[in-house]
Amino acid sequence: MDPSTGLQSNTDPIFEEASSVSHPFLRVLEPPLTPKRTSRIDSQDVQQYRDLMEAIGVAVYTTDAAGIITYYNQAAVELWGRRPEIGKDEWCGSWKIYHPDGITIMPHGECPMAICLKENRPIRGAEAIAERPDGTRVHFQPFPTPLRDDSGKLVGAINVLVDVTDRKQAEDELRESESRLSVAMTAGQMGSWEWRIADNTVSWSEALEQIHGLQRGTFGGSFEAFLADVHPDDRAGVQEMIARSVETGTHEIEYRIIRPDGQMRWVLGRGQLVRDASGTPSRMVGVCMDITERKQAELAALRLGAIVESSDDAIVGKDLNGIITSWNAGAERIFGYRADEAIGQSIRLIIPEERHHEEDKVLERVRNGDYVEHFETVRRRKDGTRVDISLSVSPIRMPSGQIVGASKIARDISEVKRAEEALLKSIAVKDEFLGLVSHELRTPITTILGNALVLQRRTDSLPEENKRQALRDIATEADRLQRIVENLLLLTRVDVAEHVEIEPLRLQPLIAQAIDVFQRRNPRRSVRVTSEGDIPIILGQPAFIALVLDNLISNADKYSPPENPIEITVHRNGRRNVEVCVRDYGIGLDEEEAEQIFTPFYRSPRAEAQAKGIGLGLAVCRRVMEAQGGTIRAVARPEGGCDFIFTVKRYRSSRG
Amino acid sequence: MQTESKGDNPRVLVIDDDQALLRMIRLSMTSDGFDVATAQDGIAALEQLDAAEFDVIVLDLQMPRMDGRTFFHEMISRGHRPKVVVLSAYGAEEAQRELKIAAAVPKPFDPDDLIETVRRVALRKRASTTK
Repeated sequence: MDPSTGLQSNTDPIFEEASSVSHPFLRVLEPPLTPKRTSRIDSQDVQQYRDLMEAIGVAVYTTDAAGIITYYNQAAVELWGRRPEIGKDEWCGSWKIYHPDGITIMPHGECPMAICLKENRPIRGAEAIAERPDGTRVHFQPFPTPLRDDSGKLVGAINVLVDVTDRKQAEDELRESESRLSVAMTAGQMGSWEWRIADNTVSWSEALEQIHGLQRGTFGGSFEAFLADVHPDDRAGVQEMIARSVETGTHEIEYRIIRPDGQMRWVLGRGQLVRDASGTPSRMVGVCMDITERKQAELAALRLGAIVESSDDAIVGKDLNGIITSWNAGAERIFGYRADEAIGQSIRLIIPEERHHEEDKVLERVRNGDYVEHFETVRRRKDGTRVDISLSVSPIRMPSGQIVGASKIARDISEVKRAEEALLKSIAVKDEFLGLVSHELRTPITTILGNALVLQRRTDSLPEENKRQALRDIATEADRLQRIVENLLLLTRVDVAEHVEIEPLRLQPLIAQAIDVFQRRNPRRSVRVTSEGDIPIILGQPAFIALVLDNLISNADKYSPPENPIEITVHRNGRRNVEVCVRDYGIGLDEEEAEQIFTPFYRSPRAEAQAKGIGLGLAVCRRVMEAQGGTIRAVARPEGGCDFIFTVKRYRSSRG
Repeated sequence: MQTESKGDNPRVLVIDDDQALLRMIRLSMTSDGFDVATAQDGIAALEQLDAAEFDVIVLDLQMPRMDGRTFFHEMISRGHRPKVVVLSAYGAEEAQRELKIAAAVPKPFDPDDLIETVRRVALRKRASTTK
């Protein structure tokens, strides 16, 4: 109730010394205990107005012109917490009065009622706090109004005290909750917005502009301006969801925005539709939260999950009682149990009986927060077979640090074990190779050196025949050394130099030369050459062709009985190729060996028994033939012996 | 294969698959007065051991048909106890330790050093049994 309305007649002449006008208000103000007026006041009227004042329920009191309290109602008693003494207490019936700050005392003589009387004017807009004798306080607004008689003389004042404690409290609470909300929104990286649908204007809080990476106050202020910030891939979805929420009333959307600096952020937006009195959607209000970190964590978790799932290793979670809590695809593959068969079971499911004690130790270590790393052990598959694994176990801790279980990573190391064996084998092969090369190189050196020393020291006493033999051996062994070294070098060089200079060549002179070189070393072995038809000009590298011929002829010599000639045939193979075949009458080969003999350092067991060698010659032949674009192969003949056939390209001049 | 006797010098059997090397060793040893026999592999050497007594065996480790180690064990199992000097281009000392052999001469070597080694080995207490 607004007392000013009730007292709108405050400027009216409401006090009359000897009034015939029966103004009810005036009569209420008539101090009933003032003897001189008693006779002129209708006590029934007074009682009526008192009843009225009581019924108002708002604190009301009156004073005379000097400020002496002449009347107050029950509500005033409740507000003051006391009953002032009529005719004695002045200005206000309050025990103590404070300014609105609640600290500074307001002397009664300076209270709004006192000012009203002293200055003869109504006071509005004041606030004060009344303290009751029991210490409780009431925040009130006074509405003191002067009362004047017909002549305008001040005769007193009436004051209405409105208790605003509840409103004050509500205001304080509101202010507090607003500041709490603001703190919460800032802390939660949350911004708020409002969209007035009719004129399509959008306003954003400063925090929301911050989320969007905008300078304060630079947001465009429209729905389109908002949409322009949204990641192009999310735009359609956001638009649709918001449009739908105009129907449904709310929305909650996760979307990406692109800041002016190009940075991408994830935002969670919630909106609530507001309707006007007629029920028409008028605006939408909401909040937006920057959830980039959460999103990143989610994505990281997803990625982590994908990693776990796609890992070749078994990754298994278990609680502190050894009950399986997670089981990835790697675990399914290694142990043969599906996730639904394993989860909920004891980890002992995959531990062989004789190793159950291991699990007790592992769990004990995990409970102590210790790790178990690369522990090699054996586990049991579903089908009962055993699998060699390397096991790492780490405690799973909650963010609080509490250990709630263990994650174990088991790697199937059967492969590793096999690789280890292969490595050991390759080391053995290398060892064997070194032995072989050393032997092949050092044996001729020993012969050369030994013969040279014997000749040098005892040349006078040695028979002529022995000297000649020693010199022959020196020459032969030096030649052998040279060939081995040449082959070793070629083998490595051709590996690197992929392209080899090739040129048009005549084959016959090369063959003739190779035979000549060979027969100087082995004059007793006969070599026959047969060619079928004209031998076309070929494409090749002369030194390489010579090397291959020399190797093949020497091999044929090594593995053929002394009486057999070495046969070389040359013929065209189709229109493009020429084939050269060197035939021996040796031990022959099986099919597998026919291919293996071209592997560096491979020596067929049978060949080994028959002649020494290092297993390089044929490997080198293959390398140099391939480098020239040709081929070489070995074909065993059913009647015994072997054909070594190499193919070279025929030279075709550009003129056809 | 061939035996040439020259007085009191030790009787030596040289086993190597390389003919040129065998010729060189024989040439140097015989010119120094040794009684030298040669064999190109372990099997031929065992036949010679069964046929005649030798004080020292000069043994190459890498040979076709039967390698030096196999020959050595076979020889021991047949009861022959000659002194052995191994020749090898690779791991001669290792083989000497492994087989507990009198001496090892790595290839290449000065023939006089080999002769010296054989002579030194032969002078040690004779092996208790030779068949």
